[in-house]
Amino acid sequence: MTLFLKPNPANGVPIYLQLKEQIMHACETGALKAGDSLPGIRVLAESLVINPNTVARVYRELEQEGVLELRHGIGAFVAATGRTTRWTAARTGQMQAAQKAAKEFVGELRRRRIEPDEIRRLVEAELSSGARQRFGRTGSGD
Amino acid sequence: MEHSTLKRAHAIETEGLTKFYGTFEAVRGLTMRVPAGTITGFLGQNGAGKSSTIRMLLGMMKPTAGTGRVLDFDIAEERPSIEMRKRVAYVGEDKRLYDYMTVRQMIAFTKSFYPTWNDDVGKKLLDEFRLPLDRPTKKLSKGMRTQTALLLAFSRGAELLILDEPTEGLDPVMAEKLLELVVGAAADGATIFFSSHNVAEVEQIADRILLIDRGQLVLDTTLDLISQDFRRLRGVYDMPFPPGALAVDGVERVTVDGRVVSVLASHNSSAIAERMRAHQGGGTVEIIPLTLKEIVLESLRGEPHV
Amino acid sequence: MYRTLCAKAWLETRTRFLTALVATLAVCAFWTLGHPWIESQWQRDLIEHPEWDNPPWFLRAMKDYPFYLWHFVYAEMFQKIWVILAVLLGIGGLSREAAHGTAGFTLSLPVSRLTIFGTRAVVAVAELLALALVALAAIVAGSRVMALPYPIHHGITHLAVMFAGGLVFLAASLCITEFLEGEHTPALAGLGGVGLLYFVMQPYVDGAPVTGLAIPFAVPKLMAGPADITGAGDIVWSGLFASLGAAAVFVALAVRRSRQRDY
Repeated sequence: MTLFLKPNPANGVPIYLQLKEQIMHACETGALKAGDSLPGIRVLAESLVINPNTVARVYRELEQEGVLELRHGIGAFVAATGRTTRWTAARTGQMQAAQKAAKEFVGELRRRRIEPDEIRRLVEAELSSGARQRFGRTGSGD
Repeated sequence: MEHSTLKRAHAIETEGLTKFYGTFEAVRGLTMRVPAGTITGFLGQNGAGKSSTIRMLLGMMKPTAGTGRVLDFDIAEERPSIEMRKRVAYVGEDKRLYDYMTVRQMIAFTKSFYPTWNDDVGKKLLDEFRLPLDRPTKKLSKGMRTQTALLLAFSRGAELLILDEPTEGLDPVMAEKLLELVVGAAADGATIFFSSHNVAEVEQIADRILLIDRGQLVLDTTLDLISQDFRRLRGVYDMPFPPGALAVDGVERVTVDGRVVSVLASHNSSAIAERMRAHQGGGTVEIIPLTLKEIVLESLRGEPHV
Repeated sequence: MYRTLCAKAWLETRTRFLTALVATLAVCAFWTLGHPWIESQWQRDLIEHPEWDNPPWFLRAMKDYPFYLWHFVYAEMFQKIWVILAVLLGIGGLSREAAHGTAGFTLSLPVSRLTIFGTRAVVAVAELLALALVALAAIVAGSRVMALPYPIHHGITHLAVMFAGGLVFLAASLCITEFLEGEHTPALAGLGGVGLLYFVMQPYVDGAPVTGLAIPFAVPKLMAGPADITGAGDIVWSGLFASLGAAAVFVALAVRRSRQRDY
């Protein structure tokens, strides 16, 4: 299983989020296409050596968000809805715009002599206080 | 590995579990619930009471006070304890085997006690580890002894695995393999309860953690809550900070170091940040997520509130 | 399950047992097959050293083969070896496993403490019985080979008494093992006890009549039984039952301790 990297428990991002983002990233970049199957919960948990409940939760949430399709008894598949293909195109555009915004933001702060570590801390603080509202306890996403 | 009785809510429950060795209180009023189907890490320093707790759960030691149930069987009575042990796999820190038996004999011996023994798992591990069936265990290398001990535990088809410092003394490859086996067993529906002082591995695979310090439970939470709710808040104050100003729900520990006030919060960080900003007259309060290691270290460092 | 536990106890004590077996065979072979040689040595001593004291048993042993066997095997040398073997067969169990680091594994098995102790005890008794039968067979065979007439009931009776006596020492050993910790401590304590009994207590009461409080001191003498056995009527039945009672007490204490002990 070389498609997914082992999440890093200590990098500040919850493991389930890391996995979720990895799957979404794989869909965005085309590594996973509509209709492709994902590894079973047990297999993925064992290969990444993470809790199977975490894998199950990620699959569930992505199903709710329309990214994956879970077929009972068979496994998880990338949803063959138009969403993923349209989403990919839209996402790419979004990512490009986001990159531009980030560049401007960092440039502005550097001009004001704010150090890179400071910038990281400010962003982290903002994300942390915002994350609770966005992700909440039920884990419903965008 | 289906168990035909009701699905239990909790694999392990204790109420005020206490153990005295003479006058030394090794375990003090431990009250905890381990939900079925989860992986729970039991953290604590050496001598904190982890092994004593585990030995009481398995009937190796009698509690001085308090009660406990494992898989809904009373730990203090011998008959229920025996019934329970048919469904439990225990691996001690030592992972020693009977010197006078060969690998084959150890497997046949252990298998005879567990009706849920899974030959396929056993065979798979035997092949994977390339264990020499007819070699006496005293002639095995330490690594192979561990592998044999793991084979004996994970082939049992147990509902609950209780592991005492399972990766202690293992090389990184073997340690990761053990975690992989744990995760596989969890995927099959088993509950895992393992004690460790390796925070990283707990953070990697556990659903919940229990932190024990000097016999007492100081933390009982899930890793989700830790990443969602636990925060460190830091603010800089030119004026002395009024004590008692932070008697807010969620504040676990307050440390003052010169002008910097640092707060460890288990939840409610936004409200705490508000309170802290109110005392600053327009300054900034940093909100930083915490790793499990930081939380454990803070929780073990003496008394909480200022 | 019981079968595998007994198999475990057997594997655990196998080396010990086989060593004991060899020792038993060696001793019995020596006293039977070596009889002519010993006899000739004595004859020579009588001629060459008329000034040496001849204890009363000596003169009789020279002429009376069963008595000779009684003296050397049942009463003296082999008896001492026998009780040592009995003690050694009883060592082991959970205390020893604790020293070896396997107690946790054994205790986490779904079996009661009584079963763990019981299977160990049963195997030890079976081993002791096997040794007794081998001793009997060796003595009878050895005597036959040397064409020395030996009434078999003599052997059966004495070995039965020795087996019963051995059971007491075995039971005591099983008991000590439950109370003492460590790899070697129980063995040393057991052997120390035997030494005390044979080399201190017994000589202390030698010669005096065996009644009341002196009985524990004279266990060896009781185990030897009377020299002339003509039938079951000569066995001191009360002594036998008392011994078995003592063994039962040791076992009961051992079981109780095993069940209560924290590991």
